[in-house]
Amino acid sequence: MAMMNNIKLLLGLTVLLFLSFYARAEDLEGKRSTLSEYENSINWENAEQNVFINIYVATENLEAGKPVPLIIEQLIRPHWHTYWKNSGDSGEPMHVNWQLPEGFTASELSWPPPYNQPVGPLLNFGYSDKAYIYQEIQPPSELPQGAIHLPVKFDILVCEDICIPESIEKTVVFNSKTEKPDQILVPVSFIREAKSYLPTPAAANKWPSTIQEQNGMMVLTITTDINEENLKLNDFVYFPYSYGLVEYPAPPEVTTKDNQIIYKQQRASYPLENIKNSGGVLVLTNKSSGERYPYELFSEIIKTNTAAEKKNNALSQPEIEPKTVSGLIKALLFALLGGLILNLMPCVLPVLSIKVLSLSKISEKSRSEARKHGLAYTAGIILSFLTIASLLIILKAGGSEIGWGFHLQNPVFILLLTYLFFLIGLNLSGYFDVGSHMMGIGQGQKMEGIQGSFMAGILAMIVATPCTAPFMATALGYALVQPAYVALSVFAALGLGLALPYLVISFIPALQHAMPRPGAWMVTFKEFLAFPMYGAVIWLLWILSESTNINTISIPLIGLLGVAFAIWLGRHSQKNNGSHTNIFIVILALFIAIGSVFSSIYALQAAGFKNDGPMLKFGQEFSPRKLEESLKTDHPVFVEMTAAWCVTCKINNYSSINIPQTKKMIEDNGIIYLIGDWTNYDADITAYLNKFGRNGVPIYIYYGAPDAETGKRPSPQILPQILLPSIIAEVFKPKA
Amino acid sequence: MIKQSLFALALLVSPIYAHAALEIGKPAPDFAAKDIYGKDVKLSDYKGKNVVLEWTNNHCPYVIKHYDSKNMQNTQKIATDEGAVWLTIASSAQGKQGFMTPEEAQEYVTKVGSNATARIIDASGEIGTLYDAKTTPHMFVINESGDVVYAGAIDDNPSPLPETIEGAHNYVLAALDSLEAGEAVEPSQTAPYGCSVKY
Repeated sequence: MAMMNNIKLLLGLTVLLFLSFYARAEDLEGKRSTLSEYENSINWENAEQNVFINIYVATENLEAGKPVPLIIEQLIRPHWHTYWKNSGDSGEPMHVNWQLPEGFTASELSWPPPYNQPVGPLLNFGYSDKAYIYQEIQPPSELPQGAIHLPVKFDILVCEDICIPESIEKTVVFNSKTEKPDQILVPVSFIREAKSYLPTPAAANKWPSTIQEQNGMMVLTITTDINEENLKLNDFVYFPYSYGLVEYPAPPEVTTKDNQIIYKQQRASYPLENIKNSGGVLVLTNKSSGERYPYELFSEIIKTNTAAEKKNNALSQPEIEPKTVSGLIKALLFALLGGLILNLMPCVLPVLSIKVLSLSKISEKSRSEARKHGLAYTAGIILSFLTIASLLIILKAGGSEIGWGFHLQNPVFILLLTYLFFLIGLNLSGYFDVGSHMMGIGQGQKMEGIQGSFMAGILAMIVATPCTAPFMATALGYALVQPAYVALSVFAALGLGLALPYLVISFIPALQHAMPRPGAWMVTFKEFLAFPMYGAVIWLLWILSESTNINTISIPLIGLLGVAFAIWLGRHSQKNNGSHTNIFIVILALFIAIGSVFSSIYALQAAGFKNDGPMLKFGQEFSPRKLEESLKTDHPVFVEMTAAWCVTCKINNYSSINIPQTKKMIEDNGIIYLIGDWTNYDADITAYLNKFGRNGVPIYIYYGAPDAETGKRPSPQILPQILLPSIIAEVFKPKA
Repeated sequence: MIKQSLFALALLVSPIYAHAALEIGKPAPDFAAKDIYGKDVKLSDYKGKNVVLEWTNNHCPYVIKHYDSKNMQNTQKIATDEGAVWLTIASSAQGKQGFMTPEEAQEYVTKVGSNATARIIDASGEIGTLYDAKTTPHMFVINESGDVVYAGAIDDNPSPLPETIEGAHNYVLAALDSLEAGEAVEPSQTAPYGCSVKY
């Protein structure tokens, strides 16, 4: 028996020796240079072992300090398998133990992507037939004299139904003319090809990814640089590095959206916080060609707070949870309240005030007519809110990465709003009068004033938008990531809130009587209300300057001048009723007005919407790459997402961030401060916001310094949307 | 008949991957079986005692490492001397590696000198599935009130090589020590290593 085994062993060795000699001889002739040409055939019937190892190198001589790449080839008995670095439910990866001379080091093994190896109800990850594993040997800066011997032992667990641990010993020899080494010399192209099967390293693919837990599922979201159409040509498998992330045999659910892959798989019972290594390899397999494209990922684990933690954590947000009925009611109440508050905003107050004052006149004639006005106004507001919300939902469903306030990211829209506010201001100042029914601002006593009220509702919604965006962006943004019916209900509630004061007054005569009597004072009051409007114009111009650049501001200013002049011309025409000169002047006025508006739009677009970073005060500009690089350092990282039109962002920045105390903390603690500017549309920032379930700015994220022992960062911390210096100080405080 | 069709229906309705994950800190699923000597063994009868479950397969190199070195038997002895109950479970299906008849198993436990309280043959894999046992050895520790307090490897040295036993940190003994001291078991969950259970 022992004799038989020895013969088998001898035979196996002879085969191997022959193969390595053969390979070597061929090399010298320079013919064989690709992996497929090295198909080694082992006579498995006679082989004692279940796995063989070949070591391939591209050089016979070592150079001081120059790393030498090695390919370790596993040849595995048919139907048997070896294991990947994470072996799955059972098994063990190959261990490579070098006995290196002093000064030499061996790199970690780089593994090609594994294949699923199901064993009964379990699932392992590994290789069948063969695998090429990559390693580098780093020689010291001074080489010892003569031949260099590098003995190495491979401990490999190889399994079919049963498992057998096998050991193979080899000696790699360099810088020797006489000795016959165990390694096989190959052209560099061979090494290169074997290396090409390794996963694209995370540092090279730059695909940001996150891991979250939702309803017992691991949700891995990967933002690729491949478009949806091409993504869909692939099947996806994710092989995590760490035990306990998922139940390996559970079938994953994979969806793609735009350039994102959303990979869901049942979580294992192991707590997410205990996952030490959030890395893994995502393999894209082309459905038609079967080619595999592996990408290494290091995902950011986003801790989802449990309800209990939420209560305890003062820093966390009071979030609206429309998943439950009471959550939805709460969201609707907040929206209603928000709508009510909007009435006090400088953009809405003038419109509302005039509208309400006009009511007292109407009510003297007919109560029912007052009610009709109230209803028409409400309908105008709610319908226009719903229109905008539907538009947003449709655009989002179509894949656009937009959030509430998106229209303020469009400078042309801001420009048009500027004209509108300017016109309302001029009208309030008494510079011109457009009649009651158009804007509903005048004293519409007639029935057609009902339409005027409806129009006034639409106008109120439009003038309210620049105010809703900064103050309600987050709430509305949140609503928008909910199902459509929730989003629409929230927007309707907001509209109802905005309409409510007028609606209530129109329905309750007692309130109408309580209104001040109309009189000459109303003109004065109206003129006064023009000033908030002019203020809004200045604000809009400032937004415009931030989203383009300050020099561009002359364009809308000239446009405003043109419009004012056109109105003056138009007013003049009313004095010479019916004459040719009059018609000419009217045409000229229209021409100037329209010309001013359109040429300013054109000029603005020509000027470009680039933002040359006036928002950056003392931080660095955010980019996904910058963030990734920063997270690789030992420094804490603070991310601020802001926009010029976002008042909350501005207030937070001035009150809590851009202050000496915070600046000092940032400097003292070596915090990397990244600012993303969402004033203009930015897909990267939108994707980042979505990662945290947000759809609007501001958002403040703090990534604590990595733990000194584990080298792992704590979960990113989401700061409240209203900042205080004390909150910042608490978060920035170095953890003991 | 009705029962069978109900079962078939349940299979149709249930998702393909129906999996009751064992949770640390939650009550251990109860099971009843006969040991290799025909004695009744019921987990819930051991309330008030710490219980260790050991999944085994006598031909698995990782199990062999722990038995040839007497590491497993010593661990069993320390545990049972402290009053714990130790149940060794073999979930290998009939015809698969590690399956033994009661007679073969009796011979084996005498030969290796097992110090386990009882050895159970679970050829149907029922108990293994209940505990989601993945490898041999896969270890579970259950406290006096019947909650799972530890699940995972026997030690922190995943290898079939006998020389790796010395210096390895024995998680099972550490868990039992923590229970005795009234402390929380830490770690309460590790990656089990070894051969796959041959269901």
